[in-house]
Amino acid sequence: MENVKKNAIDILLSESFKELSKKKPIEKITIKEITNEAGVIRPTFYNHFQDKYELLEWIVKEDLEAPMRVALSQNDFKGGFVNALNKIESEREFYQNAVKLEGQNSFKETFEAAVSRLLVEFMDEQPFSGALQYKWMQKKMIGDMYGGFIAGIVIEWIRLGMKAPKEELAEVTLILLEEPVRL
Amino acid sequence: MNNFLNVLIIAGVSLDLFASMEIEGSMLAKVNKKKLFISTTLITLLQIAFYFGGFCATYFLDKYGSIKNTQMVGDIIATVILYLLGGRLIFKAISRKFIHEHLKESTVKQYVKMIVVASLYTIAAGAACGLLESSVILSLIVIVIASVIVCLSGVYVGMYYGYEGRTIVYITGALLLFIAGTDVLLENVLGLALI
Repeated sequence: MENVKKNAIDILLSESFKELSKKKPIEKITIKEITNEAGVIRPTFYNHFQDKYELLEWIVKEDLEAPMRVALSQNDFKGGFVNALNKIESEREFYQNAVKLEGQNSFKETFEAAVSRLLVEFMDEQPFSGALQYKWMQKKMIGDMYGGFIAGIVIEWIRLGMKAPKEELAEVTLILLEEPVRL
Repeated sequence: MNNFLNVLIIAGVSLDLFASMEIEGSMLAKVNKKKLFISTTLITLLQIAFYFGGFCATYFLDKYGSIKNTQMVGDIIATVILYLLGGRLIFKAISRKFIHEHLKESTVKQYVKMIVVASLYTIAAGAACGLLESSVILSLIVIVIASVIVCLSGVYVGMYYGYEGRTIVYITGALLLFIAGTDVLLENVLGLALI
């Protein structure tokens, strides 16, 4: 019961945060504004999140990472990717403001980390055995590299106004991931 | 120096402390009452020490120093100090230093460190009051009451309402110090009664 209640407040705070981000840059949003919009007292926020950047991380995990995890567990990268893009498009204003965040707690960094986690979890190591033979090379590094690549595509898509059709973007991403670059 | 002025000066300086406690309180999920009690006690004792440190330094210089016309010189210096302290609060109000709001487990050491950093200004306020020959007993009583009130209220106000009100707090503190400085200037330096 405690977990259900805790999760309900997390959702309330995240909805409040998304609503506020439509009106002002994320850097300027205060904890007081988030809790006022959510209708809870200010200390409640800190019972759930360390700061607003942890709230952003929670949003990315719930909205994007979790559905993609389900799709990847069924071997459907393209379906999971399109679902994530659909979610982003449905909350267009929030994500267009989120990508403007720069620095240590940027949306880019948070999203890259989420994608990296997914890739490390579902990655088939065999194609990378040549790279993983080296002691300094870790599975996480491969996840981070590809995470940066995939997150970069999505962020650029957001920045350019989400004009490219989602199915086509997913297909292009898969091609770029699967086909080696011939130099 | 009249007692009301003394209260104004201590109140003005205490509002700076209130704003600092407000910021600390804004990063708490809940108040640890024991830590807050210890911090409030230590902060009050430090405020007394710094205030009377400045007070004694200028009081005895004024009384037993070899400067001619020490009364006038002391009043002018006190006026300048009060205006500078007020100006500093205006600067803090305008600059609106960025604060990264995040959950913090405030420790007694952090609270005390914050006060030691700001102690120079309490010493300056004490020095101004020493030059103006304020009542020691009244100063002590007002400092204790003001320190306890601003420490406790600052933390709770910050926790429930955030620190966004600090601009108004700084401006109010500055106004109190400017009023005190102006009164000293007009009454003591220029010989015109105001308060």
